[in-house]
Amino acid sequence: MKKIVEVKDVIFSYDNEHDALKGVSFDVEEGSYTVILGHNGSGKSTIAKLIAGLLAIKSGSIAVDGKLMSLENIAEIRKMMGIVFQNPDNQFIASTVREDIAFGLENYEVDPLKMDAIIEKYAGLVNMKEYLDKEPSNLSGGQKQRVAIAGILAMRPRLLIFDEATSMLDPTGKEEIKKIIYDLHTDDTLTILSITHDIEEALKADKIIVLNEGRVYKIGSPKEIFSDAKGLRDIGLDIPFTYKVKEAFADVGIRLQEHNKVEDLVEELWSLSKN
Amino acid sequence: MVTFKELSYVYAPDMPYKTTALDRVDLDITEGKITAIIGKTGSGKSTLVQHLNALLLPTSGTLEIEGYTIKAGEKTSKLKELRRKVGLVFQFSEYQLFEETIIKDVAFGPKNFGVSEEEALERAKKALELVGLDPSYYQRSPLDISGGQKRRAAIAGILAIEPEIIVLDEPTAGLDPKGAKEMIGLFAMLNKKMHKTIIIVTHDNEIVYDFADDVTLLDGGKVVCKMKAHDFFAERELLESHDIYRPRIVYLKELLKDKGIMIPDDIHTLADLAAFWRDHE
Amino acid sequence: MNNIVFGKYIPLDTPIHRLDPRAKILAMLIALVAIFIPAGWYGYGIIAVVILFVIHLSKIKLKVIFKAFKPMIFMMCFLLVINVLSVKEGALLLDLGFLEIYSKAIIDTLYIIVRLLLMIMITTILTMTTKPLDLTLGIEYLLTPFKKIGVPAHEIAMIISIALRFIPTIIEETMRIMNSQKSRGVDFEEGKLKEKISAIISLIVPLFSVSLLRADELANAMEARGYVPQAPRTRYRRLKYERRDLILVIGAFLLLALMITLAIVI
Repeated sequence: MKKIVEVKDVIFSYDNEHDALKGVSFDVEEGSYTVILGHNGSGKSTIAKLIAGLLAIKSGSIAVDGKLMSLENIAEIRKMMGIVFQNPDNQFIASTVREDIAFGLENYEVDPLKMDAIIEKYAGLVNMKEYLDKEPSNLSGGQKQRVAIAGILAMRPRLLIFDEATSMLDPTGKEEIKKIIYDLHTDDTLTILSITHDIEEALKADKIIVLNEGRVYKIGSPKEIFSDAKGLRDIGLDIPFTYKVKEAFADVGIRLQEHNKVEDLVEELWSLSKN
Repeated sequence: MVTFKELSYVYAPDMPYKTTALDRVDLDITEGKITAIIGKTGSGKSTLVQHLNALLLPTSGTLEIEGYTIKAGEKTSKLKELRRKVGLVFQFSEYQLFEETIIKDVAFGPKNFGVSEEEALERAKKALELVGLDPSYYQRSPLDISGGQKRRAAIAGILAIEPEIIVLDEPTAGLDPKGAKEMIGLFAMLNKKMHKTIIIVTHDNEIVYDFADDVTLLDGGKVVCKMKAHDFFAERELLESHDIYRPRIVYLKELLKDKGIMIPDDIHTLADLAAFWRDHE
Repeated sequence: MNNIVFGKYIPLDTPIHRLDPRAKILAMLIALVAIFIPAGWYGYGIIAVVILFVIHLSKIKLKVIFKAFKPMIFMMCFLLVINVLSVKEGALLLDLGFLEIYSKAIIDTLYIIVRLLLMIMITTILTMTTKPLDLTLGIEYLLTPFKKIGVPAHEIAMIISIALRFIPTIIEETMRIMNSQKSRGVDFEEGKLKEKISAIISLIVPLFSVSLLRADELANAMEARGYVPQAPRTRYRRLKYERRDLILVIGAFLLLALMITLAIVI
């Protein structure tokens, strides 16, 4: 499969003393849903900013869509990606939902007469059509994040980065955003790279990259990653609920399958109880 | 005992956009327990807890807390004393840090309450130890440490005041799983070992289920119910009618029940569930 | 905190609300000039009538406008004291022995106060009937001709609009930090000077660092969405100039002309 992001031996430092990233390498396949998992301070958010060209690497290389990133082509590369940040308040730029979605379009010099149709389309996609004229102070955190997603989707990116986009939201907000992420994943021309410490979200990914202390700890499928409960706990992470159930049952000598959904787990338990 | 009696709070009562944030709240909060206050954003949780140390004063009704009675319309002169006994840790409390060093920042609270310089520093050291920041942090700037450490320093700033009641507004928001677990472990310890009353406002019902003794549910500024935490999450209809996110183990038990597999009500951990399964199925 | 937002936009649908922001800003500027023309009490009377008429049209309650005066009361008293102490002309109204109060002192003060009140009324009408966004867009358009002499019209408008967007957020933030520090025993209302200074520092320092953080994150978000300050952009929102806008501006000029005439005649 074609690789849309190639990160090679990247070293990065905020203060030139301590390296926040100490040689990180991984790839992101085009059309995939890739999750970067790590505890706070593992370097995962730094990676997002490096890929978006908001920070400059110390050594190593990052290629996006086959093009090696440099100061000259950063503006061009950025045009193919969008990034949803953590704090809903600090990425709502304009005074109303409508204007905020328009912000990126204005920057791309889209014809103002065409904007209304685009704004409505993408606001609809994130279920924010009734809120077009609302101000940010009247919106919940989850709604603000949805607006941010609409504003970015309107710019038609091929790579969509979520930088801990759900971590400041309440449970409703978290679910709203995760549902949008899962829905977007059905479009295989769009690559989703989500940086998170939400292990339940990571369960839905095609590939997980686990970071720890500025290094790649492990790369693999959710099943491969979450089978290593001890290792994950040692680096401040945890395993999803269904894996915890499997673990607890294994401790009393009952072997269960791996499941992603609680519903499937219940099916297995039910069939076990019948026999 | 903390007692709310018919307490209402109205924001901007003279303005056209006035809102009733608390509507005739009657509520007892038991001392020495961990009480979780839950409810949707805008249900009045933050307004409620701000009454606990008189940051907000009731529009009508009364609040009895730590021997003080706060009545609507009456000037209460001893607000500062009350604030010494009830420590409130705000959401994203890391933003309250401002001194040059962490130890000075933590000592700031006790000094404001009239504690001597040396005593304040002693208390600051104790509080920092409680939250797990070792002496190497004392002289560092609060701006130089990580987000999770800032949060701890901010909480130490309240602990150093040595309040009897500790109120926490979303203390785990934005922390990673390990950080959240450690934070909650700290509050459980303060409750069990130091017998502090803990009142916690949170959206994280996993925490409520695992750590809280009591739950108070707010909706539209009204108290819907106050119950033992484990009993509360067994009330399936109540949870569904208020659209309350269930702790995963509760959800699992519900699904099993739907399949006709009955799990006893006193099973609250996966280990117990697995043991029960081994013995009975 | 309500004092801070006295000029807050009130969403209504009135003829004044519907006017083009550029016309409103222009009319306001002309009216401000008119106020500074010494046209005597008749002149101020006429301006006041015109303003009251506009307020009536805009359906803003007079009470709300008067609220905007409150923060000015101190300044007005201060002016009165200064004038009483310094102006010794006109008729002697009162002799307190240590202080003589002359009529001109009172009249001068009244002049200034009336001017101030009229100015506040006009600016308040503008901000209460115009969406902040339209206001900035209007400013940007009006500044565009000055781009040639190096005035960064677009950047100024962007800065104003972001400032307006973040005012409510920062007020909320201020309240939260204030409450946090109150919980730590800070008394913002009472206390000695030294305590007051420490109280203010405990508010300002965190507010400053949070705002810097916000600014940094906002800059990232804007950059990530393709914003380059000097680059050309299109604008989603367009302003439409109509006949009524022209009437407004002409009306404002007529008022100015009237004041000038009055000033010369009197």
